[in-house]
Amino acid sequence: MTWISYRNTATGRSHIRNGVPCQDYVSYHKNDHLSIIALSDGAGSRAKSSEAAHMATNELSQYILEHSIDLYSMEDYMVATTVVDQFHSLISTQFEEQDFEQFACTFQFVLMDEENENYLLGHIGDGAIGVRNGESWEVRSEPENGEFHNTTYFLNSIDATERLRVIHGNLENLKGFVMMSDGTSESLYNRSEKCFAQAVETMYQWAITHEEQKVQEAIAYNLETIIRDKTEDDCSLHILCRVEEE
Amino acid sequence: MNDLMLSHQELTENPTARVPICLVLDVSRSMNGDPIQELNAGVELFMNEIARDDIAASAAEISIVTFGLGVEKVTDFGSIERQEIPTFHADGLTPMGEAVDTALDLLAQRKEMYQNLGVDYYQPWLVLMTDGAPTDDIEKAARKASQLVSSKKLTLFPIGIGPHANLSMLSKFSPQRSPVRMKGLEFRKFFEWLSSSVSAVSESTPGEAVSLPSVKEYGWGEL
Repeated sequence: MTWISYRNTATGRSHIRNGVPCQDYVSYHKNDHLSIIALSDGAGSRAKSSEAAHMATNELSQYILEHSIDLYSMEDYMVATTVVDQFHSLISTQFEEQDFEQFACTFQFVLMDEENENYLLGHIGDGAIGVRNGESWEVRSEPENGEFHNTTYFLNSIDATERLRVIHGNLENLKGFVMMSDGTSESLYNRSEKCFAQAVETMYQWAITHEEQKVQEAIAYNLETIIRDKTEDDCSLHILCRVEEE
Repeated sequence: MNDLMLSHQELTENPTARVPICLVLDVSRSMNGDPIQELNAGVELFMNEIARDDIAASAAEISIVTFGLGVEKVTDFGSIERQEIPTFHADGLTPMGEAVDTALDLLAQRKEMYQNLGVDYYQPWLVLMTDGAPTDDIEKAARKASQLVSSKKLTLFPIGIGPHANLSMLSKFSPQRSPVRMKGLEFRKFFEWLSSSVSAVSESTPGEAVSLPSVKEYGWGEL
């Protein structure tokens, strides 16, 4: 069995109107039997949020991948502390701008160890993460907003280590993962029922029955049309499917 | 073209996040004549403007509390499409403290309803307009409103109408935003500005700073 990553982002309608680039990023890194999928949504109003989200899905995710053995053995709180500290450290070393308030982004990651059949999930802010357990999709990490709709928690929040949710899990029986930003969750995550829309299963079925390139294009196209039409915000989606190796 | 297309039926329908707004309006005897006429015209314009903006119309929920011949909840929160535009008549005194207290209770009840139904919402707004000074005790209501504003649980707009509006009493409700005296009887310009502000908030996304339209540009306030 192997895992295939399907991912894309779409610039939100308000950003298109204002000529602002997409501040959602998705990534997939693999190293032998270890891999990590990540998603980050930069906060619209902060000057360095786009850089922060890009860094979270690249350098920070690679750091998590490279330090997976240590992270797997840590308590949840220590995992959160290590991730947040590394985020701050990356900002310090890579940017002259030292105003941490400007580097606001949400962060979701799933680190997978195929050899030992386990995973480590981290999530701060809005957006949602789910797994296909057997034949159905389950929510593993729901969105965390503040009291008000336009507030959430970011990697640079003062209480980020308390807010970064960490979950250890087993890959056995899992056939897929889904992660999405808040823009996408307007279409794919039901807030009151706390469950995913049928569309998640539909895309999963595309992934296991169609050629990879075609599915990548389909996900990109649907993000840029039907999913983006239901929100003003940037949209991003990452679906990871376990498939038989050819 | 790729034939792998999602249908609308496969997506979920989340309710629009709401912006609860309570207008707390002085309809005391001193508002008689042009002021009350302009206030009526301004509120009508406000509700029509909100109804015309698709996003604001589904997000904004407006309640109106008046104070004059007693305190009255004239309009309860609800969809703008189903609300009747009220007409006010000036009479009585200025029981501002009781009116603000009533408005804060209404906003708290509305928030509780949203929470019970799983409906997201933005920070509630309270717009307080008067042409005079309170004739009842405002201490309790002012303290409650100030605490909510300071803890970022409420946005309060204190507006004085005409030369006799007591701005220092109004400021007791608003520790952050200074009261603004309306230029003449520019109710319409004020309510135009307010509807644009509601639109700006109802389109905001997490982490985005919302900048309200400029008071100067709309020309309703003496700055």
